[in-house]
Amino acid sequence: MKNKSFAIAKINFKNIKLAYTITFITMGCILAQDIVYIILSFFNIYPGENNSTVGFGNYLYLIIILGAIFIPSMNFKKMMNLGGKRKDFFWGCIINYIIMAAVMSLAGIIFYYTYEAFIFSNYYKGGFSLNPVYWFGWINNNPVIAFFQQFAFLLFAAVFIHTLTAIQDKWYGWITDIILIAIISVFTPIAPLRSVLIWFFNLIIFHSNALLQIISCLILSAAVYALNKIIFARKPF
Amino acid sequence: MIKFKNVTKKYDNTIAIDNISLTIPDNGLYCLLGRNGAGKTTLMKLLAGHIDATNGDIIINDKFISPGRMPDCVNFIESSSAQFNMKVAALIDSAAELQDSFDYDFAQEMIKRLELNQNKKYKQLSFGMKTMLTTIISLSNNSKVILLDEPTLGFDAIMRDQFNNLLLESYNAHPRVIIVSTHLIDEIAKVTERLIIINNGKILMETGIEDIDQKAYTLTGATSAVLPLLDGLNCIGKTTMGSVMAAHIYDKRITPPDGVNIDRISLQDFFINIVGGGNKNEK
Repeated sequence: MKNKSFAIAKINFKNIKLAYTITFITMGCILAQDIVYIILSFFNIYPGENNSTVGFGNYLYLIIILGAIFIPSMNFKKMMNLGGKRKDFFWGCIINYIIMAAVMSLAGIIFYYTYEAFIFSNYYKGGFSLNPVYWFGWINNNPVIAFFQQFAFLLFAAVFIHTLTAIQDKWYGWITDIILIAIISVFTPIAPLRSVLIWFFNLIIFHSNALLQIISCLILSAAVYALNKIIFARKPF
Repeated sequence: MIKFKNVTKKYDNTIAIDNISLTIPDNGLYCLLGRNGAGKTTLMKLLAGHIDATNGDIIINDKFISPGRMPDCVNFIESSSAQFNMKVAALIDSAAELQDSFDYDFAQEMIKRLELNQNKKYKQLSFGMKTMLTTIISLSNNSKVILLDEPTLGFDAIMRDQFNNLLLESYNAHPRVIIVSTHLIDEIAKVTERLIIINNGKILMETGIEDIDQKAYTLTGATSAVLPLLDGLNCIGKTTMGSVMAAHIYDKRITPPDGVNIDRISLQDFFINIVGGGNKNEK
């Protein structure tokens, strides 16, 4: 990978401010709510009792999800207008998603063990954090393995969203949307097909063998992202 | 060397480029002239490999061009293109990081000379300044082929003059193929060497500015005296006012008889007549 790919990644990071803004406003609101709960606890009032909410750190997922939408839809054209090359954009974006997935995964675990542990044991008594590392069972392995499991899953999610967004201006993008909706709606009610869906989600999320889950996500990420070589090679701007 | 071989580009049922064949053999400053919708931008996009041709081949230095094989040696940034809302200085830095042959010192020099505020964000710039910034980014690239699409859009007279100087300095520092599309032919003619006129997706003419200076002229006189002179000449437009006729010619020079004047035709008038807008009859 050349320096220009890293330059693309750097420019992308600087130009997904809307993703940062939405994420930090959301986190600010959650933080404000927690502060109110803390203040109310001084008066022995616990409105969060038995409540289970999304883990504070998991709101950072918004950055990677929104980033994967904004980068192909808004940044691609502008990057080309600055004289960027398609092949550099291809490599630059995957650098973005690898870094984002790593940072979000690490932050999610740190928040789980620190802030969420503190806030749930004191102010959401009886409730628990809906943090995927807990919810998907990744934390049952150990924090380091959980980090890699979450990283691989987030990377696959980002690559999938990026690719899906990139093809929305093409007929095959809409066909893909329809197929995805059809898979969910048709597969779910039919037992044999439902088991295929369950098998797939088990493989990429819940599998008891962490290594298999990580490798599956990484292989799928590579396969899906490779499609972008074709998609962006002919994408007009 | 740049070659267009029987290139056609269709958008649905609209033909934007109609079976064009064109060769640009050497470095030089080329002016691509055409009306709105004539196909200038499409031609540039095809050359830059931003879009696919429907038919035909585009070849640069023996390499076939398409979106899948975008040439590294071509730099094309539309003047009205969207840019990241970053500070001017940051945009220049980013362009320098992204482009192989970016002349950072040249860009800085131009920004200083044109008094672009480096601390302003892109969206805070006026329309003309936005265009100027994009033009600076394009011209600072030392690729073998530079394509500038309407680079003076929104410029005032002083900015246009500065742009012409900038263009000339850039070319003299790094001789290469620079193709400028514009409507303001008389101003760009001061610096460009060759002219490519496009209309309705077809190349009407590819010639030197000197050739037009020599061959394009106006014959003015009594209609009865001018009309017989037009036989065998390529008359590209006529204007009649009462009994007086002005005929615009693009052909060999003739020596007019007494009573008929021969005048130089402005490039603007030449262009208007050559694309078919010049057959006016006023009474």
